[in-house]
Amino acid sequence: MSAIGTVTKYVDDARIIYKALNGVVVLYKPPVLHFNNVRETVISNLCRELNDMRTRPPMKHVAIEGETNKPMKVVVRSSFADHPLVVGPRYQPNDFRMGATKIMHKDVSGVLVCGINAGNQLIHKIKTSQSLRFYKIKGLLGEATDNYFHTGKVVEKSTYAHVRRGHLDKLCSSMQSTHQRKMFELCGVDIQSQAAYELAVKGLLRPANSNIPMIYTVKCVDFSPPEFMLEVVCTNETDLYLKAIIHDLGLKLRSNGTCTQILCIQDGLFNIKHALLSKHWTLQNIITNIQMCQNVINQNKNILHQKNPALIEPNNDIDTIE
Amino acid sequence: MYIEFLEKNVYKIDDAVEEIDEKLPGPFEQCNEDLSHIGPYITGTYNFAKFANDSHTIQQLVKLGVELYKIESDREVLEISENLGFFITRFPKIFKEDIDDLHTRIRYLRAHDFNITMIQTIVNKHPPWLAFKTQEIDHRLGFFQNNFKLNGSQVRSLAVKCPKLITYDMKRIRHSSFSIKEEMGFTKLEMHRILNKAPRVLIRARTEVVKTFDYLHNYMNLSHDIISREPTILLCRKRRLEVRHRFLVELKKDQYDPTKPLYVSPLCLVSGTDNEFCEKVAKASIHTYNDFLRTF
Repeated sequence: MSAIGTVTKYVDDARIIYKALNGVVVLYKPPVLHFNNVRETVISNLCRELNDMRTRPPMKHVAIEGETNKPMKVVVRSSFADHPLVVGPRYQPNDFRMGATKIMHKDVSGVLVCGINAGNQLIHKIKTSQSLRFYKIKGLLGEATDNYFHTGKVVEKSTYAHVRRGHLDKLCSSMQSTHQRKMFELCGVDIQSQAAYELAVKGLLRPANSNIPMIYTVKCVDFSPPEFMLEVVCTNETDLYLKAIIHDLGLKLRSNGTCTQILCIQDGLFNIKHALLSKHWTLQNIITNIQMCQNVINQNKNILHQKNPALIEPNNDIDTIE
Repeated sequence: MYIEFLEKNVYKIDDAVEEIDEKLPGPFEQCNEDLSHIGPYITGTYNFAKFANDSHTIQQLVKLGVELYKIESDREVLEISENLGFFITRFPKIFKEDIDDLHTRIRYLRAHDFNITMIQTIVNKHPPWLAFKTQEIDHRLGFFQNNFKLNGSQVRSLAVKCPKLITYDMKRIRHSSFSIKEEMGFTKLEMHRILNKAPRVLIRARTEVVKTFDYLHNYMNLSHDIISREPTILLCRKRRLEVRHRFLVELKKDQYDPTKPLYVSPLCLVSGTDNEFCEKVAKASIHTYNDFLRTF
């Protein structure tokens, strides 16, 4: 964050901070937790910290007391009906809405782009713009499980000594070219038309339908049998789809494959180095992160509304905040 | 339904007025009666806030610091606190009996060689203890004594150290003690050490304890003896343990054998914040550790 143009003011009033809690925040989702658990934790942290600050004092209660046939007294005292012990803490989990561009299954970890309160509108726009996600997927050769993930029950075992890096690379590139062929079919125009040609000239396209998974790149980045790691760039994917890729690769390699880790390293413009670790899900860090994300969105207005079906190079001039 | 009810009321009032045969005051006549007790009807509500400004009871409870919003969903509590005066006039003995019972319960503890400071700790740490009948407490203390083969002073120190455990759900305690004995395979002596140092192991969800133990024993290769000497590590979440252990493996500092140099105590591994862990155990920068955390 540049020091120029920002005014720092120290606030201890929870009301002002609650009003500032609108926007997009990037979290690092650890494995094993489901998105719902993440949301619960973040919201309860926010509530706790806001309630610990100076909150709204109880309202005044005006009472007219005394017997009606004598002069009566008008008393003003703080209302018990608005006391935090009676109506509960000032900020409660119901006061926060939190959605994400992708509801992450518990096996997936990594970048999770969330919206808090009014930020949910931005999240919806980012979601419909079909941004790309970058994954690092780890696989294990020689084993197959019933749910395609290493947590499942092992149903098949095989040897993997014959597998070479070349085989894996060959399969990855053939898979990539098949998917790219599919991309032109999914863009919603007749493949023999002039419109299709003009789109194809522009390069990679995003699919017209938001339900069909689309893979742009599959690359093996690490091969040390029995483990290997793929880097996948895709959109509209599901966790099971990514697991199935590893499973299919294993079968094509005349062996078996199980997915051991799915790590999302980038979602649209938001990189994993911007993401807040679970120990940093505090009010201060979340507010700073919201500001940073707002800067990123301001620099790349196109992620809120995509006019062009082709993929565009993002404006990668992003300041990180530790 | 509502209209019918209203009409009935009107009818009754008319009836009553006729019977009394009193002259009704005219619209402009001066009223000298005290009407302060007359107010609008109390309509339905979903919480205490509506009564708070009028109810003396609620105000007194708030002044005592009772968090009413937490207990108001319980219908019984609502009736008791609204009708506290009613209850006391009708059942003055309820307090008397209760006090007697409380005396009996305290006397029971005194009879079993708990000294006064011990009883104070128990009651302050875990007030619901007093809600249990003497027979029940006796039965439970007996269970702990027989099941874990403890002697009198061990049972007493256990009750003082973790009174919640004594009053905890017996079924779950049976399950977790079975799991510690049979599933994890701790011996009697090791079990005593666990009970003495970290009785909360029995309270923590059994499946979670087993996961942590599995990681400690099968991945980090710690023996039962070492684990039972530092049983608080069984209370650590598996993920926290896993992340820190794997970080040490990356740095080649995973040396948990106390007889060899560069020993890392398992307790140091799990306790403290990440900053302390990096500074004291891993001797690495916190940024390196944070980046490492992001690779999971």
